Amino acid sequence: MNDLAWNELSLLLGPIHDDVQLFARRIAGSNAEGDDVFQEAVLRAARKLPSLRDRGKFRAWMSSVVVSVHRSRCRRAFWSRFLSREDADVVGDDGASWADERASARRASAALATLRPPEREAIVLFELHGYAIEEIAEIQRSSQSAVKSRLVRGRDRLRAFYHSLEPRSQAVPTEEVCRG
Amino acid sequence: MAEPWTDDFAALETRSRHGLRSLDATRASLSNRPQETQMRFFKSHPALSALLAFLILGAVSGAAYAVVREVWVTVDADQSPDQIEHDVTDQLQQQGVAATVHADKEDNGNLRVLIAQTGSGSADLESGLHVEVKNRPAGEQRRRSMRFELKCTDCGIDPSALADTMSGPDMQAVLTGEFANDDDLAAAVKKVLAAHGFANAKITVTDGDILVTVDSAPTASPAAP
Repeated sequence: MNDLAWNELSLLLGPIHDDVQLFARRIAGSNAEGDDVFQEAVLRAARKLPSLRDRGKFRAWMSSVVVSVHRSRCRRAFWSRFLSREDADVVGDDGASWADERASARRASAALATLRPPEREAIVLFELHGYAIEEIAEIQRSSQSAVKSRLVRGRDRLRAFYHSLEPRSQAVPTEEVCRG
Repeated sequence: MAEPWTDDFAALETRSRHGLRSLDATRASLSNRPQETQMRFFKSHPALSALLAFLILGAVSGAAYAVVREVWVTVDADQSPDQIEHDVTDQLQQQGVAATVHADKEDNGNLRVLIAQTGSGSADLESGLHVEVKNRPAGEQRRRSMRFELKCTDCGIDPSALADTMSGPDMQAVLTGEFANDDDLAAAVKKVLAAHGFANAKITVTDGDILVTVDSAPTASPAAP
């Protein structure tokens, strides 16, 4: 990226830099992966900036670029995930292993990872960034009804994920609990 | 009532702020970023094109591939990747074939479709799959398939490690790359496998279709990343 392209982009990106970087981190599953998504999005944005006619829509446009990069990466990752393999037990054996903030954040990432990319993006934008449905529709370049569906399906999957954590700690009471 | 993820999302919100880069740091990191080199096939074909890739993985005996069925699928290249995946999956299911379909479109409209099968059902798609791509010139369509047979089940090979190699980015670059002839393609596949410790794999390439057979234990240790 040359200085001219960066200077033009940085004027627009500066005020929303952190917010967009946070969005990338939260949908990518880790800060490191999110930073990589963000960097690729910034490079792509620098190339495509001349095509953005209404600079007032830069925030939504930039978030759309992040979404596009995120989807591309998810699709590339397809090659390494379509085989059924046992994933590492990032969740832990029981809910109690998620006591501290770090573990709690990892569980949130694990829960979000169970969503399809469009659902994950919609949930993160709505729940964590406070975007309105019409704004998310603009970012995802889809209809508001599609966004609503993604939010509903995403929440259903999140509930299923958290529900799956419950039985191990509740379904089979220990002998000591029975006595107590 | 609060949703079960409320506290976890709050933690994620906090944790994701740790070590957040500044605008200047972003600029600095971009200047050190290597150029992307993957997907050269599409980049060298700016016109709308379509690549159909079939990756069939199965830790089964070769006999399972004896069955051949005729399966016809139509891909509408003007549909979105999600629509294509859904549509092709439906078509395959209607013909009794269970496979994972993946479609990807680049910004310039180039399309790549991958149909992958694993396990004993691999026979269904061995050579009887006919795919018609609508809305893409026939001259801009390419098809390449790769099958994989692990014939020894107790020779110390970790199937997941081999599967990682077969489905990893190096092999993906080969599958979507351009080669002058089948020998060059076979050499490229063999090189990737050898680099990951599977130097004893047998590679057969016929008209761009690749068959990888592993029937004995690895002879070399995996290369350092």
